[in-house]
This record gives sequence, structure tokens and C-alpha cells, in this order.
Amino acid sequence: MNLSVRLGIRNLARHRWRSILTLGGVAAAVALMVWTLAFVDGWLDLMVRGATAVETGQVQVHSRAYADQPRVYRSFHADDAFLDTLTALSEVDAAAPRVKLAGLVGNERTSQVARLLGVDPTRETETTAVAEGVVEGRWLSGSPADLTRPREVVLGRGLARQLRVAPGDELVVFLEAADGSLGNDLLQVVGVLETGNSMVDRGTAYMHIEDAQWVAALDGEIHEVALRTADPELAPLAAAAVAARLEALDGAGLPEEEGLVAQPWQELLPGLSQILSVSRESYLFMYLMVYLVAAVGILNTQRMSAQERRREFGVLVAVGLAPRRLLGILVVEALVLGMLGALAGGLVGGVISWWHATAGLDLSVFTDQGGFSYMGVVFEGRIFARMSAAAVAQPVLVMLVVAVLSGLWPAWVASRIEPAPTIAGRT
Amino acid sequence: MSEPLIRAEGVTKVFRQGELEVHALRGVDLTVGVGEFSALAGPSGCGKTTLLNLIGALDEPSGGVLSVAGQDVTQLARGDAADFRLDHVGFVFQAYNLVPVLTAYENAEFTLLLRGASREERRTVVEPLLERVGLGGLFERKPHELSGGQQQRVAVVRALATSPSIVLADEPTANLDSTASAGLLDLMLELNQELGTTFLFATHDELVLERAKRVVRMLDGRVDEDIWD
Repeated sequence: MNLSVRLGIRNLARHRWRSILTLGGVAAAVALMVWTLAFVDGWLDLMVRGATAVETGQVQVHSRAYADQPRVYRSFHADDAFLDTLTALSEVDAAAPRVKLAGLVGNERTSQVARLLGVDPTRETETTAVAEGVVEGRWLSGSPADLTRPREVVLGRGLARQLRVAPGDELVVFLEAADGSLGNDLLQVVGVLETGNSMVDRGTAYMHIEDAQWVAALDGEIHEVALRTADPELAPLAAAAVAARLEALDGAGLPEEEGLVAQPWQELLPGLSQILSVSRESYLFMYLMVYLVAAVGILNTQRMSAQERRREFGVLVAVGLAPRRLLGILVVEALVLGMLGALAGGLVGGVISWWHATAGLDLSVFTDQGGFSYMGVVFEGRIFARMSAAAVAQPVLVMLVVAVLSGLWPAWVASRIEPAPTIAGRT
Repeated sequence: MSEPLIRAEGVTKVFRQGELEVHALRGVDLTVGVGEFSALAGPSGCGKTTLLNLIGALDEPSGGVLSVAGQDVTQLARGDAADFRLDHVGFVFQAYNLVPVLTAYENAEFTLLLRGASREERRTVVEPLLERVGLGGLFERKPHELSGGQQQRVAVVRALATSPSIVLADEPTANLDSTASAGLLDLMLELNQELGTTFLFATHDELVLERAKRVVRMLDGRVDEDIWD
């Protein structure tokens, strides 16, 4: 074993309790950071999935004009061939066309302003998790209304409560159509949704896309295509791939100023994206606070140790140990201290994080309401930490750097030792 | 007289303590030849330890000329002084000064480790030396598991392991009883004769002075008397 490492390990055993306390502090700091990274990553992951999985999708395609300012008449044509072209991309798992309208829904008792989303029930189910949120009745049937069946609508639970309707009840919808006329029709409630996305739950009504196109006079055109990707983090790459494909399709036949644009959720939900960015930057602050305490512990231990061993260092320098090598030995000692603590902390933090990644952390412990809503996403039940090699390795590696930096000053002071007076006990 | 290993001409050393100047050495002239077994003697404060420190490049003289093993040691940088000591000087101190966390064997091989010697090279040198000084079977003991005399023997092996030009021993017997002191000194004398290593002591111990071939008596920072056996 290298001399420096051997001295480092053995000197730790020299003052066992002091070393154990310092190692405990270092381990606690690393464990806390490992758990924090894993938990916050899991929480952010849940927030992104909650915000994108139900409605937004990870990438959306609109006409450039609609992306700038959504208007009911800013639509484009998208047939199955067009959608299949997009899903043929390796970055895209599924695509769902949509018509997005705003109108008044109500009955003889009450009425509410609502968002009306015309969706292809099958493709929507493949692309988002909205259909999984049906808590009463059922999801939209696969085909539009005909002479024998009414136009179907599925309501968010909040909207259904405000309108005091349930599956089987009828509603009337009034909205501005694409041709400037007033579109209206009779709808039958077939289901009620509760998705955890407050915008969907409180004010959204889902219709079959062809029914919506008929009411809004859209003549088979749509406003957007929502795309699902495997990893929300990679949405910008998927958006770039889609944009390249759209360019190759020559804007789907639209004039250049009305060409199609693909936007990842990071652009579509800038507030959420900013929250993520701020949360990740807050790691730095967390590191600073937690590791500063550990750094002071290491520095104090090393300084005390160096002070107590001045005479020993004087002898080592006297018998030929170069000052730079003494500095190296003491830095390695600090590194050994930090490494042992960091590895122990990484192990403890990893095990706790793994437990919370597997079993989740029950938030009902912290609230008497069983959950809370943040950024339009309802958090209830359990939050699962996200375990990754990086979430464990990063705090361990940062601690090694902190340990070396903390050990530098005591090591530098010790390496400046004057051997003759030190051995004689004059300093 | 043997060829000079140490040459000191008009060496002075002044310590400053605030406004106060203490003249520890006031112009020392001394030559020491290869293979000598000599002692610097004199009362406390006469400058013998200071002179030993200057010869070992642990400190710099304030004036004069001082060369050891053909090298000017008056103005060595800290790193160069450490390298010089590693190559040319072995130290034995009054308080043994072994590294407490290393075993007897590891302490003994320490200077060879600093030189980058391989495990086999270290073993070849250190094992016979430890056996020679009567520490066979005690290799794995830590310093606190050894007697004072045994610790000082380890220190002697550490000093000799690199085959230095000179071993400087500052009051090596001060913490030992007379039996242990006599045994250690006899051993050092035997090593001096066997290996031809130069030994220079700073001491007031009569046991050392009895065995030294040359005694340089110092007084008030100067060489007062130079007595050859």
C-alpha cells in the first residue's frame, strides 16, 4: 500500500472518536445529498410526467401562426399518413391529433366556460394517459356520432361537479367556429375524468375529433399534434428530429409563414421548465450549506491532527521527507477521511433512496388532506425517488473534492514546518 | 587524519527573539573526516546542537562556510535541504522520534521508501540491520510496544538504512538508562567500524565521551578544545 494512504488510514485510527465523529459528519452530509438528489429528481420527474403525460405530451406540432397566437381558424390538415410519418421517427412513440376549442357548456340549470378538446380516442389513449383518469362512466368510443348515437363528451371531474352532471346527462355546447359562425350542438356525457392535472380536471371537456371538427366547422383540419417520447428529458432532441422531418415534408403543404413547428414541453410549459432549472440550481446551494459543515469538520480534524503531530512532522522532514511530499501525505489523509465518510454516506444514502424509489415516500405523513397541488399537478399517495448512478456518485465525488480542498490549508501549514526548532519543542 | 567530510570555517549562527539577538555560534572552525566516531561536548547552550543542526542542513548558518560531503549547505532551499539529508545524513534524536502508527520495520525502512527503493531492496537492507541491532522478531511491533533502548535501535537502523555519509546523533542516550546506553553506544561503535559510517554526537554523556575517538569541546559558541583519542 502506498505510504501516504497507509499513514492516512492509520492516523485515522489514532484518535478513534474524533475520526468517527468526523466520518459520521461527512457520511451524514453525503447521505443527505444522495437522498435529496434522488428524491428531488423523483419529484421533478413526477411533476414533468404529471404535467406532460395527461395532456401536453412531450412534443407538440402546430402551425407557426397558431404557436404564436392560438386562434380557432389557424388549423392545418393532418391525415393518418402524416401522423404515421411522425411516429416512424425513432424518437417518437405515438402521435395524437387534436382540435382545441373554447366555448360554453351547460344545461337548463347552469353553464360554464370550458376548454373543448377534440381527440382521436384511440390515438389519444396511445399518446397520453388521459383515458386512465376516467373515474365514472367510460372513455370516448372510437367512432364519431352518427344518426343513431349522440355526440359524446367526457368531462373533468371539477367541470362535471360545477355543471352537476353525470354520465347519461345531456349538455349543450356553444362556441366560435373557424368560419366565424356560432357552433352549437347537443352532447351526451359518457364519462368523468380525474387525472391529477388541475387544468384538465377543472375545466376540460373531451370530444371525438370529428365531432369537434363538425361543431367548429374545421372541415377535417386540426390545431395540434401531441407526441409522446420515451424520455421527457429528451424531448428537445425529439422536437428537433420532428422539425427536420416537417421541413422535409415542406411544411405539410402550407405556405412558409404558416409552416409547422415542433416544440418540446420545455418551451410549451416554460414555468415548469424554469421550476426544474431552479430546483437543479438549488442543488448547488444545498451542496454549499451541507458540505460547508462537513468541510469545517474535516479542516478542524486535520488542523488538530497536524498540530498534535508537529514534532513527528519535524522528524520526518529532518530524515529527508520533502515538504511537498509531506503536503501530499496530509492531503491524502484528508482524502482518505473524506473517501471513507463519502463511501459510507453514499451507501447509507443509496439504501434509503433505493427504499424510497421502491416503496415511495408517503406524503400523507406531511398533510392531512392526502395530497397537494403544485404547478397544476396533484401530488397524492406516494412520491418515488429516482435512483441513478449519478445521484449516488455525484455527492460522493464532490465530497472527495471538498475533502482535498479542506485538507489543503492544514497540509500547507504543516509542510512549512521548520524541523530544528520543532524537534527541539521551541515552536 | 582522514579526508574531510565536514568543513566549517568561521560558522556563526544568530537567533533573533524580537529585539534580542542570541549568538549561538561565534565562528566555529571544524573539519570532520570520513569514518570518524566523534563527539561535540560542552555545557548546555554552548552551541553543540546548533552546530549539529547546521551540519545536517536543518538550519542555515548566519555566516561562514560550511560544506558537508562536498556540498555547500549554507543556502539550500527547503526541498533541496530535504533531498540532501535523505542522500547524505542519518539522524538519531534524543526522544527516538519514531512514527507511532508505523511498525518497527516500517519505521526502519522509511528513508528507503522516501528514496523510492523497491520492497525487495528495502527488505535486503532493513532486515539484516534490524537483526544486527538485536530486534529480530520485533519487526511488527509499534513503537509503544518497544522499550526506549529498542526504539532508539530502530532509529539507528532508520538512520543507517540509506548508507548516509554521516550519522548525526543529538543526545541519543539521554532518555536511556546506563545499561541501554552502553549497549546502544557499543552497537553504534561496531557499526562505525563495520560499515565505515561517520558518527558525530552532540552530548554530555560520559559514556559517549568515553567511546568517542575524538571529543570537540565547545564553549560559548566556539570550539574550545579538540581532543583526539
